[in-house]
Amino acid sequence: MNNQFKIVKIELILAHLLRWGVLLTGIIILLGWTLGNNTLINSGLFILILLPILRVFISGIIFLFSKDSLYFIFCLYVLLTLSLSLFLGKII
Amino acid sequence: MIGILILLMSILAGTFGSIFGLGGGIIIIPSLTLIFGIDIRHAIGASIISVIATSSGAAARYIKDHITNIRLAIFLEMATTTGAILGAFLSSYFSARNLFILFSILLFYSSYSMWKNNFRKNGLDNSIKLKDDPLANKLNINSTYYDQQLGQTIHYKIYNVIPGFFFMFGAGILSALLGIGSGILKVLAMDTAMKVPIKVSSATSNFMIGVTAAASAGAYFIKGDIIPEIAAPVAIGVLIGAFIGSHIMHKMKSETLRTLFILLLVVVAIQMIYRGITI
Repeated sequence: MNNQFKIVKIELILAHLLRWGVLLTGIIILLGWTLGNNTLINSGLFILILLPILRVFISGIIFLFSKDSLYFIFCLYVLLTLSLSLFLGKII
Repeated sequence: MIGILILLMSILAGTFGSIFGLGGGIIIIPSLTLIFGIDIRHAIGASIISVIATSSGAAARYIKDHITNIRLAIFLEMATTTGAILGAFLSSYFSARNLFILFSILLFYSSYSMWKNNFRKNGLDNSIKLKDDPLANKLNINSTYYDQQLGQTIHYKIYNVIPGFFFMFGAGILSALLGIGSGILKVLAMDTAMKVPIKVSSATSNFMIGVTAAASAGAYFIKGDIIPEIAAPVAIGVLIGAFIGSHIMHKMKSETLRTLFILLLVVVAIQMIYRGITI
């Protein structure tokens, strides 16, 4: 099952990315909180917000490399609507 | 001192949210406003952070254990984000009061219809012979996961792909109109319409809510609704809670999870009536 293999690969890469990303942001925010440093807290929060978007982005790249064009397009569409809503959020 | 209390409350919210596929807003918002006397705008800003932290904190475990159906998540995410954008445009045409009441009616009805189907064993519906959806094959979203509580691999199919997709679209519109997280609606759509096993519904919703919330987080940041002194203990607490919750959910019986979710629907329905009246 080549397809099943691809999915497992995507899952492993994503799981690793998430684990380290979460640990890193947790440490930055905790450090900022104990030091009372708002800049540090905000940088941590910023990375935290980026993580889910990065999740879709990396899935998209992996789908592209596994020649799964349908899901690559799906990921692109999601990223497009996400940037559109970010843009709308500024207006509304 | 208040920071430590917010941290403890957030651990609870993260545990709870990660088990049910929600963002924890239903715990964070009332406790920040009612117990800690924090302004509702800042409480909502903190709850956005809570949603993202729940999603990212639990996702690693759920993805590694294959409970999250990534393809299904990305496919359905197209519907929710499109719905959310449409909802943002429509928001000036609707009265939030009526929408809250409408939403709570929908939740009451859903809890009833989920209760009626509560005989679903392992979260799989064997009672009714359902017709396979050829679209599920084309989209490659039928999958398997290992159920730790049962100690066996569960093969599941996904039904009613198109109705489920439109349900998600509606969920996206409603969440933008009401400014609520749509985790509960996502789990409902997957469970009720698409017959997805409850653990997969919860984990897949968990994956999706973070993506949706990240899109609106930027706007909250710019508006200044995310206060670092509040958001820091919320983020740390929720990350810890989500880690705990993702381990608990794994070992739970699907039937128990589903029954608790039905009770949760009733509680949120009452909360929504309250928000509709006091708005």
